Order: sequence, then C-alpha cells, then structure tokens
Amino acid sequence: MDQDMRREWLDRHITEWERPLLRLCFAFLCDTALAEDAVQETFIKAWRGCDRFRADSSERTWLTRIAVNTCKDLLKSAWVRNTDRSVTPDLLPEGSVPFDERDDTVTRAVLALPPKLKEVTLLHWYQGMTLDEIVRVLRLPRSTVNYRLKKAKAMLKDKLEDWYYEDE
Amino acid sequence: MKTNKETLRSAMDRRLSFLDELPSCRAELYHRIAQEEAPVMKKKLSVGLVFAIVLVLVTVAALAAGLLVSPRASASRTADIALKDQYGITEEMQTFFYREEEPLEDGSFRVTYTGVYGLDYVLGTYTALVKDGKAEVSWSREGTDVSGGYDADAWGVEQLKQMMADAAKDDRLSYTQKAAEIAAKHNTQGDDVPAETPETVPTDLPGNHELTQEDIDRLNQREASKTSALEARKLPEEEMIAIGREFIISSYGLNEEQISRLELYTNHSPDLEMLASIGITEVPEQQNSNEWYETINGTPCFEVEYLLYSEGGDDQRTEKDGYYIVYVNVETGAVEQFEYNSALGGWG
Repeated sequence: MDQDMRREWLDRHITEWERPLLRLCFAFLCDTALAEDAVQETFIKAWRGCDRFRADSSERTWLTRIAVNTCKDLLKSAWVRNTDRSVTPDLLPEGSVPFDERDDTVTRAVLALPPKLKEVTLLHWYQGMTLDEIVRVLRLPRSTVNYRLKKAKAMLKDKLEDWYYEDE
Repeated sequence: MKTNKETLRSAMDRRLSFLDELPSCRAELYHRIAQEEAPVMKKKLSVGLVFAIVLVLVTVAALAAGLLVSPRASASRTADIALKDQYGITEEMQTFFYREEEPLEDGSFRVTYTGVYGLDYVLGTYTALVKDGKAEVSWSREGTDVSGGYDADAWGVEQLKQMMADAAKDDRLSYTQKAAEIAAKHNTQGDDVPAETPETVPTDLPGNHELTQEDIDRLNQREASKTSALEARKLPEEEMIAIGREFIISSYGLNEEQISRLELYTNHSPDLEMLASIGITEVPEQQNSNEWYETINGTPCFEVEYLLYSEGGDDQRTEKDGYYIVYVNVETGAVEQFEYNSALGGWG
C-alpha cells in the first residue's frame, strides 16, 4: 500500500470506527482523556500494521483487539497505577441524547463489573461479538471466555433484576 | 421483545452519548502520521536498527563501552546484574523493588532495592556496594527462614517466582494480602491489608480539579525542570532516542525477535504523570516531545521510553516484556539513569 492508499484506508476507518471504539475504550478505562488516547493509539497501530492485515479475521475484530490491548497497556502504565482513580460512576457526565433511569442503571452496572468480566461483557453484549470472535480478540481459551460470560451474566442478572429477561 | 444484547447496547449508547461531543482525533492522528512519515526519522531509525542488531552479537560490556554511560547508571546496571547473579533475582523480579543509588565519598555507589510498598517487610532490602565495576550484595533478611511459600516470614527468589506467575494471571491479591498479614503480625503495616478487587471508575469529571498550594509548587518545579533541560539541549531528539534504544538493547541483551517488537512509547510524559497525580487528566499535547525533558539530580535529561509487549494480555507475556525508560543527557548524550518495569506486579 502506498502512502496515499494508507491515508485513504485510515480515513475510512476513522469515519467508521472512531465513535464505537471511543465508547468501548471509555467503558474499559472509565476515563475520557485516557479513552481518547487509547483510540488514537489504536488507529496509529492499525495504520502501522495495515499492510500486514489479512482477511482471516474481520477488520472490526482486528481493530477491537488492538483497542483492548491498548487499554490494558494504558492501565498497566506506571502513572495510571499510581493514581487514585476512585470516583464513583454515578458522576458520569450528562449526554447529548436523553436517557432514562434504566439506561443509567445498566451502564453503571456494566462499568462496575470486575475488569475481566467487564471485558467479555463489553465485547459480547455491547459490541455484539460472538464467542469465537471474543476468543480471537482476547486470545483466551473458549472455555475461559464462556465461563466469564456466564459469571458476568449472573452478576448482571442479580443487579438488574427489574429489567432482566433471557436472551433468545 | 428486544434481547438483552440490544437493550444493553442501546442503554449504554444513550448513557455514553456525552462522548459524541468530543472532537475527532483525526487531525491529531494525521499530525502524528506526518511525523512518522518524515524521511529523516525513517533514516535515523533504520540506521539505529541495523546498529542495534549488530550490537546484540557482541558482549554487554563491550556494548556498554560503545555508549556514554554515567557512573550512576553504570553502577545501577552492575548492581542489577550482581543481584541476579548472587541471589537469582532477575530484572523482571526486580520490578517488585524500588531501586535507589547513592554516591559515596570514595567514588563508589550504594545501590539499594527495597520491596515496593506493602511488600517491603517480606521482601526486605538488598544493598549492593559497587566499586571498580564490581558489586557485593547483601540482604536485610539474611538468615531468616524463607521456606514455606507465602507463609514464610521473609520472601526470597522462590516466592518472587511465584509472585511473577500469580501476577501474570492477574492475581496480585494472593501475595499482597499475605504480605500485609505477615507485616501486620510484626506491627509494621497492620492496617494495610488490601481490599478485594477495586472497581475502576471515572476520574476526569468536572469539578475535581482543585489545586492546593503544594500542587502548584510541584507544577512550577516541574516546569522549571523542563525548561532548564530544554534550554540546555544540544543533541537532536532522534539521536537521543537512538541512544536510549541502543542502551536498552545492549544492556538487557534483547534478541532480534524482541528488537522487532520494541516500540517507542510516545504516550508518556512527566507532565502527564504529575497532573494525573493531582487529578487532572485532560492534558493537551501530551504527545509533544517537549514534555520528555526533565532535570534529574541537576543534569538536563531527555526521557526515552520504549515498550516491549506481547499482544493478548499478561498471560501471553514473554521474557523481558515491559517498559524501559532511559534518561539521556541532552548535552553529552550520556545515559544518566534508566529503569525497567516488567509491568507485572509492582512499579518500582
């Protein structure tokens, strides 16, 4: 791919994926500035590696995997780990779209899940990924992903009793 | 009826819609890409890469001689290696310790490794006396029984191996809780038993950015430190980055596969760390390399940070993965200090 083609490739992907990735990264990191950094890093890494991308997985899976790993790296970095990040999730800023109490309850319940359960919850219920896609993104055994999904589902069912009903 | 999947997605989309009001990162991305595409940078990096690969074929000592390394940094590296040779504590295990160097009157150095907060009682302190390129290491818990895994009163290399394995599985509580219990028995940190998994919650919310006078003083000090280092600069940044990279490769003996994964980490900034520590996370231009200047022990430095990582999380990590930070003297190009953080269990 020459320089112009790579730019065009990037432009298309920013248009399509910037907002979904920003929401995903925010849900992982619970921090707007860090989420913006993570999205930017994701696109830079994807741009650097776009020549190596092969269509054995979808571009969504590929970008999501980069984003998830970038978020994990950010959480591992020394200054994040040394910073007290304990502000309650009920202080999320107001959005441009009206939301009701249930939206707020659901979002807070997901954000408050333990990290490993939140990870699979976001990929499965928020990103709509299949079990196989999550296995590819997280590079975890299928059984581990399955177990975590069941555990997350049980926790959410417990917290969100009023609106919960079974998947199809 | 909608499924849970659809309900959760639409609920979160509505609740997180405040993110839609943020500006696109497109312009910033193009700016960064333009910098990466600049031919002068490409040339520098490729020369650096070839040089680095050649360097790996030679001994560490010879490589170090090829670079200008300050006595302090040299003593640190000598002590790191001595700690590994004499106690079996590898660089990755050393991440569970804070390292400090102290110059002594006779020109030698005392390098101490103290267990990170919460682990300091069980891990104790290792002290290396470095003179004429040789180091003798001693341990503050010498003679204490280290058998019995995490139940032992003092933890040596066997426990450190287990801690690394647990940390890789993201299970840090197994040893931090135990360490706190043991310390509590001896009344050193009795109130510090870690809680269960903490929740990650938002931080960059309006209204929590009140600065104290102490914060302002720290910010001013940081600004002065940066400005002084920037004004003293004589070397181009590309050269200092190449020096940092060569030091990492040669000192830590990275192989070709590891070198191919080594990535300049551009997201760091002492400013960002400082501001984050006082609750400000919306920092503009954090990619700006001007933020990597710092005056350390009176020496103007440029902070070069490289990341060696394996995709797939902690359980997929390989040997020597982690963060490498090298402080390069902006006037002479000497390596003044360096740090390695395996990003496993501690942040020493």
